Amino acid sequence: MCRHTHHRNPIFCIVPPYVLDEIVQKGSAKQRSAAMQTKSVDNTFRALRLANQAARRATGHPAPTPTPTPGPMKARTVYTANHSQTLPGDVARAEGQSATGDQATDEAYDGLGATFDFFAEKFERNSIDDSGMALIATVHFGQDYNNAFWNSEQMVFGDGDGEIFNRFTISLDIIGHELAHGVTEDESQLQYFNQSGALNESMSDVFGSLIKQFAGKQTANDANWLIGDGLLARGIQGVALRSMKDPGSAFDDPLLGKDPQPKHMQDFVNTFSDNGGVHINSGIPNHAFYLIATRIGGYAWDKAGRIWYDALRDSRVRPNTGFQRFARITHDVAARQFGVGSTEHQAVADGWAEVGIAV
Amino acid sequence: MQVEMSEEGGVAYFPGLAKPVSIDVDSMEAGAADQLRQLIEHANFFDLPATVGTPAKGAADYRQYTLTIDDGPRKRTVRIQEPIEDPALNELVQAVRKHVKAARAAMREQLPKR
Repeated sequence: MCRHTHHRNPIFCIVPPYVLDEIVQKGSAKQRSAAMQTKSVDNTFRALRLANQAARRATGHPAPTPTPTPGPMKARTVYTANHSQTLPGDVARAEGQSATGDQATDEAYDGLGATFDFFAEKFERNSIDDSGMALIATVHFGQDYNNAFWNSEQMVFGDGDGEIFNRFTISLDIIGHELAHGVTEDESQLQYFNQSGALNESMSDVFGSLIKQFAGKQTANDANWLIGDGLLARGIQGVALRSMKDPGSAFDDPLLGKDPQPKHMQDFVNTFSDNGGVHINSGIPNHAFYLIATRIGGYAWDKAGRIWYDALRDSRVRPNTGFQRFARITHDVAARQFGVGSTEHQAVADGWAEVGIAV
Repeated sequence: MQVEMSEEGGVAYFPGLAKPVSIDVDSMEAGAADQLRQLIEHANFFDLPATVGTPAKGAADYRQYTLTIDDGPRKRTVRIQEPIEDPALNELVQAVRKHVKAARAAMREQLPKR
């Protein structure tokens, strides 16, 4: 687009302004005129972008869009794959339609709603991308399909085989977990590998758990801090997929093996499996969040959740950010929000210290 | 012919499921063994690259299978990432998974009850 047309568009080309300045100063009359025109258009965009950035910084929210909107609006669509592996499948329930009577469809619809409401009410976030992105889920995916995943555009839920897993829509925190992957990708693109991947996983567990706690109006001390309780089928020896309160204790079953999650850096698992242990080492930041939230007390989303959310959006979080760097950012955010030496600031330092990470 | 499969990834890590399960095709009932052999040929399994499928950027919790087929002179290990685009390969994976599931159920029967 940049190189093969005569009508160059600076917005696509992203010619640095200093290059345009050079052309204005040293180019031919025609070049100078073109560059000046380009630069005037370009400056408008740069100015707009800067103004938006300033507004975002000032309020912590994106600048209001020029068209007035009635506030965040949910746009949910639940599809059914009818046991095929075709995405998205056929529409089963669209926004505003009444319950279908199909358990998975209605649970997905309600779970998408609970997740949207949580982010909107607590963090003033308008959907996954903070721009009102439509929420799409497909249920009844595959045959006896034992998984739920985020494919970078939508959530997908299997029915489980009934022997190891029940249907994956059964746990609100799993629905929240999958959607939170979308939020993480939108804000920080944490690479799904090794420590940054485990941090990405932990973000999904933290927000998934907060969504469940918010829906049930549970305080940090009342919550069970389990991820995916109800998901393991009858006969499986375990209570959930993971425990943030006590990582490593969620299951111990002849078929599934034992919950491999560590809760301290000294037990960090170095492995090539599971994308470098993303679902394993997430136990460490998960447990730190639990410790911090229970130290602070009250509703976990009010303070600990806010610190985590703002830390995730901090520009210092890079795609390769690991536990240590993220911990320091949460500590800084806590100081900014609640004051240096505040109970919250101290709780963040203590929580991370207890899992072996010094801020 | 030996077929071995392990499964990992997904919304959680289960050490038990990540352990490879082996199936001896030669000792299977003839009809099922023939069907499996046909699916293997149909999927061109021995000519597949070592890894199949790349998850979209930002995707998470997808599953991955490691499938090894040892047929004497021909042996190949392929890591297969969901979603599986190739219908023939998908059919093979689903068929192997059914046998793996049955094998796991049989192993489970033999485990001491706690």
